[in-house]
Amino acid sequence: MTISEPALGVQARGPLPSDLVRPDRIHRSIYLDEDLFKTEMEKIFNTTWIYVGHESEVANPGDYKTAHIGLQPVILARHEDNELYVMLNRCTHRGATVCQEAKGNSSYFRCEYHGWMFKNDGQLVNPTFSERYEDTGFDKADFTLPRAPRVDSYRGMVFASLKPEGESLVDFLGNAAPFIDLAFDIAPEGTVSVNSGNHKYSYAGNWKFQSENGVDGYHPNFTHKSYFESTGVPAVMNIFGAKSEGRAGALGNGHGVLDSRPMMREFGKLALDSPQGKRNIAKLAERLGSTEAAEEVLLSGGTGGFNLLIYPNILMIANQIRVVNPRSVLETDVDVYPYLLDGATDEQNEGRLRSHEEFYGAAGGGGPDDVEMFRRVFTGLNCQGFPGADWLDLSRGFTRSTIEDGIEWGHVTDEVPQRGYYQKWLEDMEPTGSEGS
Amino acid sequence: MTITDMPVDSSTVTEVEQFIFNELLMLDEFRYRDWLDLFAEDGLFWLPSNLDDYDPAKHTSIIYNDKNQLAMRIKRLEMGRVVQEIRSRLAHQVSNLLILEDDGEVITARVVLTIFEVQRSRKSMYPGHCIYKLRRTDEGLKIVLKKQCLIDNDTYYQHLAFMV
Repeated sequence: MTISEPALGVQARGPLPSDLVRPDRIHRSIYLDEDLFKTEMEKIFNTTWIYVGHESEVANPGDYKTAHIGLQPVILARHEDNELYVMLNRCTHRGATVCQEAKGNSSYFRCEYHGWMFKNDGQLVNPTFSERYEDTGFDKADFTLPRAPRVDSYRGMVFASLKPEGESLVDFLGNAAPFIDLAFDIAPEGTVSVNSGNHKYSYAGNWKFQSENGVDGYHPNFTHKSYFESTGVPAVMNIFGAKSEGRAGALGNGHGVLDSRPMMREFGKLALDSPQGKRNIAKLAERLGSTEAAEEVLLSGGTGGFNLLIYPNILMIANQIRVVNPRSVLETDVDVYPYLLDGATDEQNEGRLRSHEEFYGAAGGGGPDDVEMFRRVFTGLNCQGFPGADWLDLSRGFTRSTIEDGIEWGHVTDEVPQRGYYQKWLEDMEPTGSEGS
Repeated sequence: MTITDMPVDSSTVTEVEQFIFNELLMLDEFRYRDWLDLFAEDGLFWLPSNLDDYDPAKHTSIIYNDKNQLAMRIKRLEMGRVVQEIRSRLAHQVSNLLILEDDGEVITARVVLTIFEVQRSRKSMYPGHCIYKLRRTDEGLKIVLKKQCLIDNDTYYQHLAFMV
């Protein structure tokens, strides 16, 4: 009997990505097509640097946490040699996951199916009842849990890449890196801790929609109107208003930013001019080397002054790192991790958690309204063949952006970050040059 | 869970039971202002995230609201916030009342509580238990703490925006 081989290595079927991305709009198939989703898992998640956790979550030898690279379950573990390993959470014998907990501390992972035990760097200790493998050519070195060939971190954020060679993490982050610095430099010790639990929500829609929405500065005054009004401070609506001085930027490599610092400066300056503010500047300047750098960090208020999108699926907004997990083309799980500032007082850190919960999470004052809009979008996208309904518009401010130090900037309500995101998406999905034909 | 062997006065049981039945009816009927009035000025509504118990200063919660924050939450619901533009219909079902402690001033009670929710054609249920700390005052019982522990608090929700 002949069993036909799956067509491995053949260009995935489905629409051609370059037919779906125009400079000022995208085709709805980008969110709906199952073949494209499979291609994304292979060409984006198996290639790009993917965030898998924060060093503070695995601070001690033996600490581990589970995460995903695309659909693939992985373990981030700190071995006794203090090195971080990112391994596939899959027994090399029959494929069962070897680690069941979200996080913990263990030197070994044991597969409960046939008892195989792996060290927390992935090495197989020995197969159980090992005498039956004698004379079979079995070499336990061949049965190490598959490891991500590259693991690197930036300011404690751990990323893994399944591509053995290529752009370094810091080059990949590029213009996004200084924003991560701004976020974490506000911590008195310059580091943060991601050990405060998380919020979880899911929606029946494509993962990219949440990623983009985090840097959509056009929606807040509409989708989140009730939140802004409930605060009793109508001026907050100026931040994302038509006359805002805030900017939206495409940082390159698909990363994007909503930079509301020009609007926050006014509030921040008042606080910094106070005696306590001056002391804060002086203290931070000692660590960062200059008063200007310290002022910049304090005026940014951590990520209080901007929303950052790290391509393809990470958002840094307010006090949180948000991980967007694709589950299938129309299923997405989102994990929102608020982080605490190392060296800050307990009161300050508790205040960060409370202000985080005000807006975010399944019962937050703003987050669920976004999720409702995703639901409405994915209802609206069910429009096979209706004339004129195939394209989604991203043309806002299209002709007015400016380039500054390699960053494309527009008004805070412009769709500059989304356009940059889909340019990078297209480059990854349909690489030109040597890899083509 | 500790097993309580505290002798309980049946009138206390009835009083607490009637209080909680009424409190949950107010939520079923969206009488949010009446509901808020049941809270003491230092009252707290706590909906833990991931786990049932921890130090809320160190671990985030789905809701950790004092009375002022609850008033803002109610304001957003009354404004018809986007996610409740089509309002969730709710039925709170409560059982298994235990009086855990009664020091004369504050009664601590535990109930099993399930919220049934329907929004559009989506039907959901949110089972768990609830700890109440109720203070005896001249105006009757007031909520010092309502801590609602959902058994699915470590799972992915679509939203819990109907929850106050």
